[in-house]
Amino acid sequence: MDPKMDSGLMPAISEEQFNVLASRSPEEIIGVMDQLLSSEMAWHTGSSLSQTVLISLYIDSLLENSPHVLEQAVFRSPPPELSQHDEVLLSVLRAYCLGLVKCCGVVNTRIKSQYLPEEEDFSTSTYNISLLDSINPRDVCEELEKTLQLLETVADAGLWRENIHSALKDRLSHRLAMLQGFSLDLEQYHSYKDIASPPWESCIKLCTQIEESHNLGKPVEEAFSTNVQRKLASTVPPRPKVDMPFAEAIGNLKRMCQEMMEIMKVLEYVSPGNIVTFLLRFNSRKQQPFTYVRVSLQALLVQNWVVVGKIPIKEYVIEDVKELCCPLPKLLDSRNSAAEHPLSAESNITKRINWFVDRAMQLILGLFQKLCMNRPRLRRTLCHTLLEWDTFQAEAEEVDAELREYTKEEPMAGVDGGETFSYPLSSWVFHYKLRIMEWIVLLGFELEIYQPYEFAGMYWVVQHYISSRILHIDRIRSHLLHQATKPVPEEWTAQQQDTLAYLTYLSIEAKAQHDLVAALLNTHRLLLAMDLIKTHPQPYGTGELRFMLRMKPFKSIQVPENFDWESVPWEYFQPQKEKEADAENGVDEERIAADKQETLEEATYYITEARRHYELLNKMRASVSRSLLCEEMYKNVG
Amino acid sequence: MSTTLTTPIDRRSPSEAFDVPPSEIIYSRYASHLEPSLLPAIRSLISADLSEPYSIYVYRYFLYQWGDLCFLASHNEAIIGVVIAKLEAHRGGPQLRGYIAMLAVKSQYRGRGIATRLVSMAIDAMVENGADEVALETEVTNTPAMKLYERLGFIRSKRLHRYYLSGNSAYRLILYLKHPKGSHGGEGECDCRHDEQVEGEEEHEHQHNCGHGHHHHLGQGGEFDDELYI
Repeated sequence: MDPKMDSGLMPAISEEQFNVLASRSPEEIIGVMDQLLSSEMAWHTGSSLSQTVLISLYIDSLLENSPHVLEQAVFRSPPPELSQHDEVLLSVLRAYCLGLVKCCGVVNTRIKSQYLPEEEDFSTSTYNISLLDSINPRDVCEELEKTLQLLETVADAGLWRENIHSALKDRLSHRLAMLQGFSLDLEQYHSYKDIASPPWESCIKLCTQIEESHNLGKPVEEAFSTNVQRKLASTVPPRPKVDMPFAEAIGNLKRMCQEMMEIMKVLEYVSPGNIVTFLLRFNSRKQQPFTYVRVSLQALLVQNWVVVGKIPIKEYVIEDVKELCCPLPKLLDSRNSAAEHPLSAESNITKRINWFVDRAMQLILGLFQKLCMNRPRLRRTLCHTLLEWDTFQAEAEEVDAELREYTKEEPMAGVDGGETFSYPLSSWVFHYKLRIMEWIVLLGFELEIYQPYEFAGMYWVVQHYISSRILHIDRIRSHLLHQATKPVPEEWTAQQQDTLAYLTYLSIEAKAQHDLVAALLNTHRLLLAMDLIKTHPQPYGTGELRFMLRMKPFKSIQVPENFDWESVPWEYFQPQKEKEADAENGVDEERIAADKQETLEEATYYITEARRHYELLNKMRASVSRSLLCEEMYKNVG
Repeated sequence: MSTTLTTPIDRRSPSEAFDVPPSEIIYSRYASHLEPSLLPAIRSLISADLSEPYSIYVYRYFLYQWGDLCFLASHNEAIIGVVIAKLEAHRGGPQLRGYIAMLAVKSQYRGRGIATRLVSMAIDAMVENGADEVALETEVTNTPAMKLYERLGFIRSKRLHRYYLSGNSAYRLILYLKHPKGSHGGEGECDCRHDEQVEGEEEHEHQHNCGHGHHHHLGQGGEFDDELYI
């Protein structure tokens, strides 16, 4: 029996210790409301309800009898001797608490409705406590409105100073706005911009007012007790209360509202490229968007196989292929499916395209989900999905080859004099796959998985993947230019032009990245040479074994070809060995100085090139850089 | 699991620290027949830095099966450092994976290379038993522990978001001792608890085999390593 391990050993809370009906000053009520908001935001950032909201003795009291209707959710029947003052204050606090619990309830439902690694970003456990599940949020909103009216009616009675009165009112209005925001369903998001007083905007405004009046409040520490945990259905040992400072909580809430407004942007769907840019930019912020926001975004992206409520995911995939590769018109012609003869070219094309789209949409859906996850998990799941993309690429290549029979694609002369074909479907897959490979390495840097002594090596690896992608983009482009010499339907010309512009953008972007990486690679080589990066003897394992571990995610990938230890610049991967070799063979000062000079020159060259490319990107139209949904974010980061 | 090395940072290189342990520090392998006297001392040493004590079964799980991988440092007959580890087939595959479960050195003895020495002894013992690789987790904020392992040759292989009950994230560190046998691709190691929903891995088996009642840690993100439950 160890009280550290068993919440059952905690003493129960008696009424003498804390009486929810005790007379409180309005300052204390304000204090409690602000404390509750802090604990709610701590829950939003990953703490459990049992360490935050549920240990409020006021909320504990309201939920004690598992209320099914609002009338049952009371701080027990108030004794008649309550003064008007006390009665109003308790009504305010009750309405506020009900609003808060309902907010938690609807948030929890939303989070549980989506794919999210449980209990990692967010703790959904309610310990068998119903968060007013059977009560409609509208009823709780009405309760808040009624209480606001009640406050108005007593305003004239002069119970409190005016600033106190406003502080109470602001908190109720704020809670109302939050509940209205959280209880919007996805359908309502589609008409969000038509709402007269959009809740997230109101919420931000009221946050500022609450911040200003926060000092009026007087916290009531004894209104929270972890001893409530003894009643919760859980096998978790007692956990301390999580305290989030109020300023941090309100800052978080404002950011969350802001993010909710931002994700509505995806509803202005333009093209798959724009969606992906938005997802990449939005989720790669230094402060990762809140779980609730990422889950809402995930829900907005695909519901019932429809992307942002506008385009069936099958069509989305086709649009995506067109956007990147613009295959021959015959391939993705929607009229193909109308063909009746099973042996006709159209039927054969349809059969294969359907197969492709069915596979592709699963992977795209998976990618959307992954891009909404926390960054460490994003990296790990990308490592897993990479293999699926690799297999899919091989299969799509076969399908591409079969399709040529029906599209009568004419080959293009390759550089070596042979014939090459466009392979549009597998080209699209390969492009995604290469991007995933780059993301995996770049996330390794972002998550500080690589140590400074490994940087040069890992820059070398990612540079290789980016180079492969540049070549691949060039390949797609040359086939498209080849096809453009043939007569095509008019609407296809527009698509060709659009794709060509997009490919130009992608190519410049990849070159900018490549050059920046090359500059960093050379900078790190220089830092290593100057002994400015610490290396250690590492008595266990070898450079080769560590390299294999680093390359593990890419080990089974068929293209681009895997690195073989014999052919990699090993000094990037085991810099300490190079130093040992130098020490053994004697140091050729002249050679070393020349090497350093050369490395510095390379770094300078590449950084200049990178800058030139980024400046070009900056001048591109948002429609070309596919940043229509997030131009500001794109320019700020890009 | 936890590696409880907080302060101070050892500014010397591991080899320097190796060379100059106070000569009175005695290193020895855990001996099961001494359990009645050793176990309480080990427990109190490890619990000192944990917000929640491990159940006795956790210790027994490791010590009964892999007592030969547990090493102790003592001074004046008092235990001042311990490493607890295990070694077994990784997810039933051909790889024999060592796992460093717990490492602790009494605070006033830190900074003398005792932890490095203990870990090295455990790794050497694993190598003798044919280990292919060694794994462990450490809190992302635990710089001294990461330094210790990285200087020995471990590298970080992945980050685990909010891995500990405290809400802190972890790094998994891996040391390959031999060329890997199977080819699974992916990240190369087990995600255990964290990826069970993604890949439907045999996580639950892990918990049952252990046979102890520590599932409560899983409810909120588990301060203790998933592998503990194997």
